[in-house]
Amino acid sequence: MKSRSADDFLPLTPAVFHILLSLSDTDRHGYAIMQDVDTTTKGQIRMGPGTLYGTIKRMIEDKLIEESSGDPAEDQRRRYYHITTLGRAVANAESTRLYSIVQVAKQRGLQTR
Amino acid sequence: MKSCAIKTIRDTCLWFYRQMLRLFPAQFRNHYGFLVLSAIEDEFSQVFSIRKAVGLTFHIFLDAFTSAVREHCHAFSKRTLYFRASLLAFLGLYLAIVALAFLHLSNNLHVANGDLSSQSQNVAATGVSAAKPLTYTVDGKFRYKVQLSQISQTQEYSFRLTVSNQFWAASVHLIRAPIRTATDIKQVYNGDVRASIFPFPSPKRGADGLAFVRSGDLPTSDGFIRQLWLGYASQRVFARPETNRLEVLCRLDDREGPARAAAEWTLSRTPPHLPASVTYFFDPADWNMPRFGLSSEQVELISKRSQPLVWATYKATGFTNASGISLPQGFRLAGYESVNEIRTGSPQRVFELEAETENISMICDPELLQSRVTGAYEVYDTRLVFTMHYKLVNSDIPDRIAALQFDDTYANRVAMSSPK
Repeated sequence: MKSRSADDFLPLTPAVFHILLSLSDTDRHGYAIMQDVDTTTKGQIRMGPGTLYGTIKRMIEDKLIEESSGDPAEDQRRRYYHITTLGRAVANAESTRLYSIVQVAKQRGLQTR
Repeated sequence: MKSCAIKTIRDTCLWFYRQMLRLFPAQFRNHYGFLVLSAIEDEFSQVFSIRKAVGLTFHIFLDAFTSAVREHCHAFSKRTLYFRASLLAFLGLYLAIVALAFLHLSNNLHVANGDLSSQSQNVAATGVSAAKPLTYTVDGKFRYKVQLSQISQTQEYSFRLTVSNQFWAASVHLIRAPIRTATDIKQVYNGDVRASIFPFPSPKRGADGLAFVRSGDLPTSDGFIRQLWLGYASQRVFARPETNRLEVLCRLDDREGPARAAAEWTLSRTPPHLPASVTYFFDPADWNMPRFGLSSEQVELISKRSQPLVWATYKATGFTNASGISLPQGFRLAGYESVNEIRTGSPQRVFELEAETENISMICDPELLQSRVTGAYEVYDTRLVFTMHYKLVNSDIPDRIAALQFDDTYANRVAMSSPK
């Protein structure tokens, strides 16, 4: 029953990382996650519903996210998702990993904005 | 005209996707099929041109094909993993049986030689019986959500529960407290009494906390310990030849004495045979109906129902198999407002407790089994007909009735009032 550490999940696939990012500030339902990913990546990453829920299923199995009760005033059909402590740690670890790669790119004279 | 065309494209897309869901593994289809279709509907609601609607349809179908293949690959790899795990478990079991047979043989030789020390140690370890010790400690967390009309509140708690044969103890801590409240609760059953210990966040009325001492092996519902006990430590209750009634999990009215509700349950097939599911029914014969604000007509309606009203449901979310015993991986407990069901025909959930096991160790936590207080505690002792109220300073909770009045080993106890 010992849970896996955050580093065991790295590197993350773009879909997993963007879902974790999307849930890092608030609980969202599936379509809201799709919209948020579309907005934050300026349309570069566009997840289809099959990919989204397949990824969500595996993330729940890995205990990175969990279903939450959401806003009772909202549509009852919707299922909301909430980032777990482990999920947050994994997102942090992935951010740190990506940041260190960017630092290496900068040191080697590659253009970063 | 344009919106009509978009609607037709949307409906066609949904129809095709519904058929395409058959390409996905059944488990995914059953759990997420509806949500996927809802997301497609939502996506179409943001499309206002025919070109975009056609583009979206292609995108969705392409995604459906790739994700169906991905889901099947994932399900296949899980099955392979399961096969490998089963093979390893089989080998492990075989080695364990050989090792146990060897140990059993060597133990018998010791007894034959007159060495009985191992047997007497076993009796001492269990406290009251020479049965095989059953010890474990479970750590986890749970979320309690209460829903009343439009108001809902959720709180998260962590817990530790330890069991050593018939002894058990549990402690619960509120993880995120919205206001500063008494957040830590510990309850211990030491084979004789239950002690519930509530430390105050800061001393009040000259005391560092409260303690309640009662007889019996059933926990009280303070701090959700009874709900945790049901999930992880209630084997003794279910092992008894019992009728179809159970002690209630939460007190719904202020009646004195224990209340039992009609119930149905199923148990795990492997020891210690903890409950897999429990349904508590609202039983008009048992509950004090006027206290719920029910009219006589409503009481009559409940009495005449062919199907009893469900008051609460418990369901384990799966069982582990650690060292030959099965403990829940978590559980979900929901309570319903029965009066609403009479009015509207559908049950309204008023609370939900969702627990998750985080760690299991096969040893008990002796520290948790200590019903000892540090500081000055106000004690309400209900083991007599009347409640004894006294103060306890830096000492153990007394475990015998006689100790309350005559035993001077609790020299620090100060009488606060005569029996109420």
